[in-house]
Amino acid sequence: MKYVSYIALFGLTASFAAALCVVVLAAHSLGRCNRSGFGADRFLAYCEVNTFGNYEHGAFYYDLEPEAVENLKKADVLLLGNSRSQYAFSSDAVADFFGKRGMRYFVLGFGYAEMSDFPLALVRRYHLQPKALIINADPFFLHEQMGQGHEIIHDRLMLVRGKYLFKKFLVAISELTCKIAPSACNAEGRAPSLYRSRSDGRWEVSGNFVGRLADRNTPFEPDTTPISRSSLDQSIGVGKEFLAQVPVSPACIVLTGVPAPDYNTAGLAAGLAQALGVKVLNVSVPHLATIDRNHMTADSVRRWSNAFFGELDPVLDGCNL
Amino acid sequence: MLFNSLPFLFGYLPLVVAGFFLLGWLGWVNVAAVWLGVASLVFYGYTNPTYLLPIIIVSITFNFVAGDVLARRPDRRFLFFAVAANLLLLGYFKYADFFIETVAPFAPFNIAVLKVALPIGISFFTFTQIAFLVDAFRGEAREYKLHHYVLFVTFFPHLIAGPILHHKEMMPQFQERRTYRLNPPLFSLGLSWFAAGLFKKVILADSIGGFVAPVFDSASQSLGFVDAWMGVISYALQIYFDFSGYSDMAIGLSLLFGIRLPLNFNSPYQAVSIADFWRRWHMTLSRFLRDYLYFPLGGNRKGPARRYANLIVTMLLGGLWHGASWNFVAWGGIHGAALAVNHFWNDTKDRHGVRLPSAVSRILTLLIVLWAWVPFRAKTLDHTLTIWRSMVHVSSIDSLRLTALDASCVYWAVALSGIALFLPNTQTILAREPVGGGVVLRHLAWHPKWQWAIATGAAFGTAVGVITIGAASEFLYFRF
Repeated sequence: MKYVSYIALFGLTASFAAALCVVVLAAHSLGRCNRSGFGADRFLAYCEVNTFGNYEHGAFYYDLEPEAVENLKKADVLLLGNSRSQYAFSSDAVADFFGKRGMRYFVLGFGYAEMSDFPLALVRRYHLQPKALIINADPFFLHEQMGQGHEIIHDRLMLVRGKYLFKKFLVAISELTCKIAPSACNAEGRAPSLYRSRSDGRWEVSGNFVGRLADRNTPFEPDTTPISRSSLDQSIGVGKEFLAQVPVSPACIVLTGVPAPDYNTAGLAAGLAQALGVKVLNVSVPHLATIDRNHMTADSVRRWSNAFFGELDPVLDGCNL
Repeated sequence: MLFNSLPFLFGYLPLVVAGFFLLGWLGWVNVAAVWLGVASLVFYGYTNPTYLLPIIIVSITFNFVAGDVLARRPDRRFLFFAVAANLLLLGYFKYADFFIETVAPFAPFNIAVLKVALPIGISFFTFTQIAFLVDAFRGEAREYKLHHYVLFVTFFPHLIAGPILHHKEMMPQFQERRTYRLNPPLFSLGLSWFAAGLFKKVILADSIGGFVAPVFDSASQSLGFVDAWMGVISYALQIYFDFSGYSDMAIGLSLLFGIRLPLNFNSPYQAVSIADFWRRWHMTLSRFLRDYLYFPLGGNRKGPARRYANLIVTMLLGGLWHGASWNFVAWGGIHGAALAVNHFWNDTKDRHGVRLPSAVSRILTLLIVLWAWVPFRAKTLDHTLTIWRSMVHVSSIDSLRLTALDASCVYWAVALSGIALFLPNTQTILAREPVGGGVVLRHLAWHPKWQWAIATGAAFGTAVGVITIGAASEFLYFRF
């Protein structure tokens, strides 16, 4: 055998073996994802294994979950914000409120402390025309200089798209494996996951994201430290840019602050609403707790969202939905 | 930069190889040597150039000038000065804090540790250059060109963790014009060596390495008998496949450039005695210690007692070379004492005609090696004692079960022990030495056939796949 042929065959075999190994190991690692939140209507938005991680950003931007994107396009109301708002708005109260009024809604928050640039990119990409916006100004109106959304928006070479396509491929293999050999897919897998509804974007938290039991129910009082003028001004500037590009009447835009122990979210929402000429609804709920000193516990979410949607109707007066 | 990282494999290496052979093809062999030397400095300084590069550049410049002076006018006092300067450099970066921590409790005033960061590979390039100085003094090192000398010291395949090179085996290769032309047979062989080494490191060493930390990092508490033994066996296998994998990769990378490095491992766990072990483990370090420490101390020329003392001193210093810690001294001391006993036994058995069966001597050798790996890996001498106690003490029936480790460690340990104890090693298969073992092994030996291209390509690809999914792990010997 000639040496050139030897080297070429070495390279071909190595490429094939590497690709096969990556696919097999990555798909296998998805077996560690907790599947307690799995459902026919939901897709795997995030799994805490290093071969997968975040998927939902790419799923929406690259239309990898067409049913979810279709429902997003049809939504009358979008609920925007970060992971704290995803926890807070992934409640039965949301479905009850809009269900009773016959309105379509979509919870379009994102993890990784995503700000307004990425949702705005989705609004433009799919020409979204919601009639109302509910925004957790947590802060929300800031330009991201890094992160999942930033990476996607600035993906000039389409490399990021390839990464998300690969993740979709892995999920397909993993689901096929789960159908063929259910024992390979552990409902109580060690890796915590997030499943996301294709119908309305709500999260279903699967497994435990918090290592220490002691941290899983930490009472807190919402932070009331006054917001600095410079922070407020920064958010006002970005907020004006955002609202100028989203065709929604100011009467139909409601800002809120999902309670947090380390940031005066309500204060920021109130200040922004005044400056931007939109509405604000901050509700006060006693005895709140977090699972991780950041996101509210299921009980706190239930009580807070009941209170929020219980008071939302009069706030939307003047908004013709 | 790590050999087992994607930026190295698919960025640095192809670029450096292509540049080297392009320059060689154009006939610019000196430029090609400079290219490889500069590329090696980039490789070395990749993580922290402002800290690492000045150290190695000063060291190379000093030793090149000193070597030149010694070659022209051998002067014992100047040799002493030059070697002392090297040892001072090494001592400052590697041993200053150890020295301070050792003497501080006895000092009448407070002495703060300096917290000096250890420059990677400093032990290797310092020893390489001390050997060069000694040979220059002996008249065994000819006058060399600066860019060849820089390349000899910095040549990236060996720079971080050896093999420890001798100028006599490298300089002639750098001076040959044909080195700078692509040599497809050597290139193919180099790919195979590299693939074997990468597989050893990424698949074998890193896999069994997962069972080491739970034992050694929890050694502040008592351990079960089986846990302790499995942890130590796992470490013995991890360090072997890790370091021999690195050495295979270094040899393979060199062959890509048409340059042959000396072998560094020869199935050490198949040794029939401790002396045999040291002829098979980290062979270039053994060679250095023998030629530049044991022989100058008098070797075996001054009687048995002096010989045993020389062996122990050599191994104690060999232990300290690995790191500034009493654990390494203990490791060196055990090996030194075992070597002395080994030679005493050899002398005795020759007089009395006693001979141990080969299987017994192999097992005894392995037990000593395993026993000595404990201080080598443990964090402190207290941890060492805890593990040693656990290895000889069955406290309860529970200690006969695996509790700290997953049961899969047994499968890994059995499989890897089988490879290390019974299978032929890389150079036997890749035919760097005469292939023994009968017809079957001769048939299995590497040839540029499609079966070998597929086998080595699959080994390389699998390792790359695992690296892609996970993260590249450092080689154990980088810290020495």
